[in-house]
Amino acid sequence: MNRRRGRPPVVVLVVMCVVAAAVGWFVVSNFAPKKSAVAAAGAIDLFSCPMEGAQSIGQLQPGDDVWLIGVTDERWAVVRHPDDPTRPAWAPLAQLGTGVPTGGLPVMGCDVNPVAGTTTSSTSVPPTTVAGAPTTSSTTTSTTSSTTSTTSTTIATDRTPPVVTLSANRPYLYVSPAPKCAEEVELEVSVTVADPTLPVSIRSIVATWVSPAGPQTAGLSPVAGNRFKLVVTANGPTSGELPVLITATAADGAGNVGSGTITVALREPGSFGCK
Amino acid sequence: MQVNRQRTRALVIGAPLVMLLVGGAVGWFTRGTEAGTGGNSGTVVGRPLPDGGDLDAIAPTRGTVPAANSMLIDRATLLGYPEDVGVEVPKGAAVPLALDTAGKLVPVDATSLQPVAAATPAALPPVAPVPLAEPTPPAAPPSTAELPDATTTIAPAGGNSFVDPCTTVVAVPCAGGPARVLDTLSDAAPQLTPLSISVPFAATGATSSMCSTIEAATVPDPFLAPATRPTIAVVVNQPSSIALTGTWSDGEPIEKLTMVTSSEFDQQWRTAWETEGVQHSLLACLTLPLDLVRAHATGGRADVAVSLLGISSQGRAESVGPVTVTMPLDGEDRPFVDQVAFGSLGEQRAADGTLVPTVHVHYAVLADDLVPPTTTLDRSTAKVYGRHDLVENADCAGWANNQQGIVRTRAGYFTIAQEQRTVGGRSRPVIVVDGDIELDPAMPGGWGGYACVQLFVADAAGTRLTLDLRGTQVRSPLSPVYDVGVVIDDPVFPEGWKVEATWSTRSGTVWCGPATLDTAAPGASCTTYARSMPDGAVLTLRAVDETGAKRPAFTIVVPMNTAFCTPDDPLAGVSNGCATGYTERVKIPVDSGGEQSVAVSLQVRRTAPAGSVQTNPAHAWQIGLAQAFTF
Repeated sequence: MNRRRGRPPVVVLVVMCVVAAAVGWFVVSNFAPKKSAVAAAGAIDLFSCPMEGAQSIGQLQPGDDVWLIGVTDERWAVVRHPDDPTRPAWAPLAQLGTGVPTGGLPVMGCDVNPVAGTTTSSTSVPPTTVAGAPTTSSTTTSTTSSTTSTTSTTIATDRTPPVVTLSANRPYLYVSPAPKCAEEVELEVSVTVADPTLPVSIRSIVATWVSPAGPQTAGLSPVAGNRFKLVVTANGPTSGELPVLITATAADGAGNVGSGTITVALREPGSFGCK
Repeated sequence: MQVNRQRTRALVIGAPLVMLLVGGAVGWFTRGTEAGTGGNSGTVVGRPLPDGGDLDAIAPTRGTVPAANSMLIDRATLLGYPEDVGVEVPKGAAVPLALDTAGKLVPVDATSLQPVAAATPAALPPVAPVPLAEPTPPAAPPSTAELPDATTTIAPAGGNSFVDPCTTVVAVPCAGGPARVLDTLSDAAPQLTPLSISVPFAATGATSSMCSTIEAATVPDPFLAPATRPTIAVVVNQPSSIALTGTWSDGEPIEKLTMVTSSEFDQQWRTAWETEGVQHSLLACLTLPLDLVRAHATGGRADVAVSLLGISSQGRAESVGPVTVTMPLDGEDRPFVDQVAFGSLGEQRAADGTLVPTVHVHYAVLADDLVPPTTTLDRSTAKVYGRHDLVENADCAGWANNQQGIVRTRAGYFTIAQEQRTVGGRSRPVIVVDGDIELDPAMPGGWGGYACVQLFVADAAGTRLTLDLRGTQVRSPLSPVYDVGVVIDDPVFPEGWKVEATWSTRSGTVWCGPATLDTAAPGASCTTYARSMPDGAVLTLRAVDETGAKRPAFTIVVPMNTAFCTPDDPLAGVSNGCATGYTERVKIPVDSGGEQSVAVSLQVRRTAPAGSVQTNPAHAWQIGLAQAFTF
């Protein structure tokens, strides 16, 4: 009995050991110097967007497969984060092996100075629709032809050329000058283009005739809308009149080209008492 | 008894002490990490980003590898390409076919004939953002071409790696590409880009002059001016030996021929690579004999499907494509000594960085026989001019005679040279005109119209007379259209927050927006041509919190692939010309530490309907037969 009383119970001894171990662990783990912040051997850090205040947000081990989604400054590769693929993470570009042409990846970046927020241009453009952008049609029209239209109604199967009809304000004109018939040295020709595929446009109009000096041509000048004027100052007939063929070509919205003609007379003024 | 008592005392004191030391040892090894939150080895977070030398040690800079685009002939990288591209001729101006007293070319206004200054090209027209309600997946690509190696997946390495479906599941369409973490930093030395051969093209303009120099004594029919020779050219990125085979449009094959390169340029290439680490491009040429071309030509043109095989010290590469070569027609064509010839320059990089569809025109006229003797012009003051334009909605006769149509020229760059040539057995003065005519970049891909040349003479009294009118029907290269959009895609988007989205060019010019996005209007997109921003479109996203404070902006430069979809072309897979875009959900950081974020879906839509490269060379101009128009 005395011997028993003289020794501490085993339970108390065990409790003392446990308490001592706990005190030792608590004191050392909380008050001893912290471990230095170095990555595990071979591991690389993933960072948040590399700017002022950026921090590591994970690690990769050699041999890990990642998915590149961009690059930054030829220094960083942007990858899908291991723990959250929608979260971009920045890893050293030199630490990754890839067959992807990195120059073709999106370039991602953040404000250099997040407080100032100076990444974007201060210039702004009001949301307006501007001609020439891909969203707008390029069905521009000739300013000199009233037969054109700004409405595009392309018929994909249209292979029929437009019907081109010419009309003149007079069946003849005099070679200029014709002092006594001055009002008739100018011929006005109207061109009508008919086709269901808009826009239609007049491409050219030209007058041709054969004079004693040989084949002749003359262009017509636009007056307004679909009207053109013809004035001939030389190489007309030596007497009487000559047939002049006026030919107009036009195109429809599908690119089909048609033409129409009209024949008028080119008169020598002296033969008709106009000199 | 005494001994037992002493042992008991030692046990009572020693055991707790030992356990104290054991506990301390455990605490030492499990103590916290500096400035970190602790955790397992895969989630060590909170370390600050190093700077200065420490940053260079862990993340040194490395050059990025450019994406291959065999469709684009970039003159800027071509060794030997002349820097002088000619005098700028603004839209609506004419070129006097004679130099002034100072030996300079001075463009004049086509109407007043007074000198005009070069005009500043119009800026890219802005567009309006279009609302987007929700992100949608892109359409399936139309390509039938084999996918490039870069899109294949890498098998997981095992171990404690995480599993990202993009890296392991082939069926998951992910933008970007696979990579693997290396044991050590990659080599800092620049790596050669693998051998790449461009699509073949008919040499024109400066490239025809370069080919003349490169081929030198080996050129067949040297009496032909370089610009009129039927020369096929390609651009390679390494010194290499290139074999050419092909088939004429009549079915007859071309026996294997070897393209000619310049040993001098090859040496310059090596010097630049070894001393500067710069990888230039080289021109390889092959002029076909006239007799060979004549046997397969119609109207001075012959079509040939070309196959190329190149071998360099680094490897081998192939290329295919259609080429139309031209040759002078027999007989006289006064006043032309060299007939008017139009050639495709595809799309060329302009000073503002955009790609501009460009066509080349070349002709030569007799200088002493231009003004007809039977005119009322004052020959003492008469001067000859040339007008060169791309015209829409009218042919060349309508453009020159009737003021019809719309001129779609952006600008031209012309050179005028005066030469003495033997013409008809006599030495005659000849004026040689070479010009690059640029199309208005606002025109859509595949723009159609006429390329026209008008020669006219005018005297001091204002009397003018058209001397000749030539032209041809043309269609510009096709250009993909990009629609770049963003949609808020965050189920826990903070109440009262907004996201400002702005679209700009790499140079900072805003071309769309800004658009303000919130839960009521979650998305917006903007559309542009790939050629308008070949260096990429910048999308800037900036979150604005409920107090109105602007958070750090996040920028994404969306790369633009200017190649077009040509399923019959094996190169379409390499250049990924059939890609239809992607949708990618990204959590954009809204604070400096990356703790807070807002999830958005970046939506890129690329529209490049399939063409057929054999009949429809999407990357080049389609150019019809040159013809004379009445005037």
